Amino acid sequence: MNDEGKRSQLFAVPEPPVGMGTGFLSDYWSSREPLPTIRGIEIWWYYIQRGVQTVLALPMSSIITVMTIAVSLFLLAGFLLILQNVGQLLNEAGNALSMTAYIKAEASEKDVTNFIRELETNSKVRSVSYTSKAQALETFRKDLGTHSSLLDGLEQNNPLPASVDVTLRPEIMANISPEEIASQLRRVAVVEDVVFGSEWADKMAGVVRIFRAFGLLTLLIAMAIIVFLISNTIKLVIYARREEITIMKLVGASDGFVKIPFMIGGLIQGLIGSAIGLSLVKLGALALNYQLQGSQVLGVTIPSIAFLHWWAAAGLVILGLAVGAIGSFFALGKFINV
Amino acid sequence: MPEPSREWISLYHVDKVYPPNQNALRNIDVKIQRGEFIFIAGASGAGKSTLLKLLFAEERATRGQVILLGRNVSSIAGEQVSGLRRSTGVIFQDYKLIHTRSVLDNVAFTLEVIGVRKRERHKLAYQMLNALGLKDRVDSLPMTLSGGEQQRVAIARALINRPQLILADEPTGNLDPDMTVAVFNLLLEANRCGATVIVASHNLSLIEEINKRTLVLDRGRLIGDFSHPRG
Repeated sequence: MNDEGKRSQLFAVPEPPVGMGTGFLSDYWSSREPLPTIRGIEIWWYYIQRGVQTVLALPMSSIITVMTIAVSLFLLAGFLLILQNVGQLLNEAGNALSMTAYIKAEASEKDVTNFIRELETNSKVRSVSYTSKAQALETFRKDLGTHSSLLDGLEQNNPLPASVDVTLRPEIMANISPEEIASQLRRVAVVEDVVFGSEWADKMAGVVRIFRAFGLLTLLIAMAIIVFLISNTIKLVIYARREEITIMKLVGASDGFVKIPFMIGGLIQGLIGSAIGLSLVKLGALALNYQLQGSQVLGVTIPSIAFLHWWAAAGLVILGLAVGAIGSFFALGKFINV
Repeated sequence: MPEPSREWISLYHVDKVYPPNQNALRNIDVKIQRGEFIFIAGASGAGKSTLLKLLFAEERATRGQVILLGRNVSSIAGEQVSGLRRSTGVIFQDYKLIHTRSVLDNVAFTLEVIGVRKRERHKLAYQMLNALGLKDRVDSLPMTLSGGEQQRVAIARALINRPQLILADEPTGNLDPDMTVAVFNLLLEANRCGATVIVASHNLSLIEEINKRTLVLDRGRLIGDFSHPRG
């Protein structure tokens, strides 16, 4: 029998099938037994496992995505940290208001002492510092430097008033204005006049407002750039897997079956990335605090850097998760429309 | 009372035009009954692959209707498309294997999509690969397989889901004569088990030997519908 004859015999239908592949198929086909399938919570467990697999399948791409999220959130968190600390510093500086109450020349020493004692026991006052007439003259003399001789002879008839410097507690500023406190002090019998840096305080408040508005604007722009950057990184990863996604769809995978594991993978990458970013900021803040501990600038002790408020840190983690998951969702885009 | 239609697949005046102006199919009218084994013959570029793609909604008809089990395949979307593909086993000309997954996982993937448990789907995939002479390659990645082996993996993946409809685009293009015989035995066996099988092929001698209904396409037109090419 020639080759063609042999093949014709092999293909003859319905003769019993010959060769490889026979037997198993007809048994399997005819059994029609329903195959055991996963249900309920098992489906989500399956999706989580596949989400982890999507992260592990392309390790370098996943590392790049995680590092992009980490660096982006590090920059964002660092910026927020600066905003928060500088804002607080400016607030404190603006609120740590000092006033100078000038004492009447005719005031008795006893009345002045009583006035100072009252101030020291006042809950609104942080500190009190008395400058006598002689001390005022001495300070003035120092200020004049080489021209201090102009003040010679004034010791007997010192025109400078004694004064009390009053530093107020910053926390009371929410309830009472500096002007009201100055008016209260002016009503005291021994007080000639009260002077306080209202102009300076107003300017400081203005600086705080501008800093916050500028910070918010910069924050929004930074966030938009970061979302764009991360979603593009995810797009590159999805692009590398476009064939796989197409094949999944062609063999009957639903959109959810393809999308959910990628989104879970995005959540995992977002979580790891934001945790790394925030940890780096925390470490940076600790290192700076360690370096600057007790340092002074122009005689002022640099305060320690406070870490982000818990809600800001939580917001950044949520941002990382959202960017990872939503980035994956949109990056799948046209590849899933097969 | 009219007799219910016995046609399982019907194509009415189907045109497929690829942009900008390439007519892949022109005015195709075909009716296919459940359980048939059909060849689509024609030279390269005749429209064989396009016709198969219309049947599992990888492509949509530009004009006309493609009716499968009373549903217009051209207008379904979303979950209906996924459902159609799950009940269709497709053997792609370029295999379309997932290169990051093992051979076993590639075959089991069709069952994974419908939620079959891992142990069960791996057992069935192993049995299917064993039946196709690939049991020693189950853990390999598709890239490490020869063209013929990859084609057999693609065949195993298409059959494992016991599909009602099997679409095969040049399923033996890369196979030697013995393997060609084995693959067609498998398709004929699936057909005897109840599956409707549609095979696109330009191998006329093979078509003649198997002697099943054959549709002949030429430059997008249906120019012949032979119930038995050998007569």
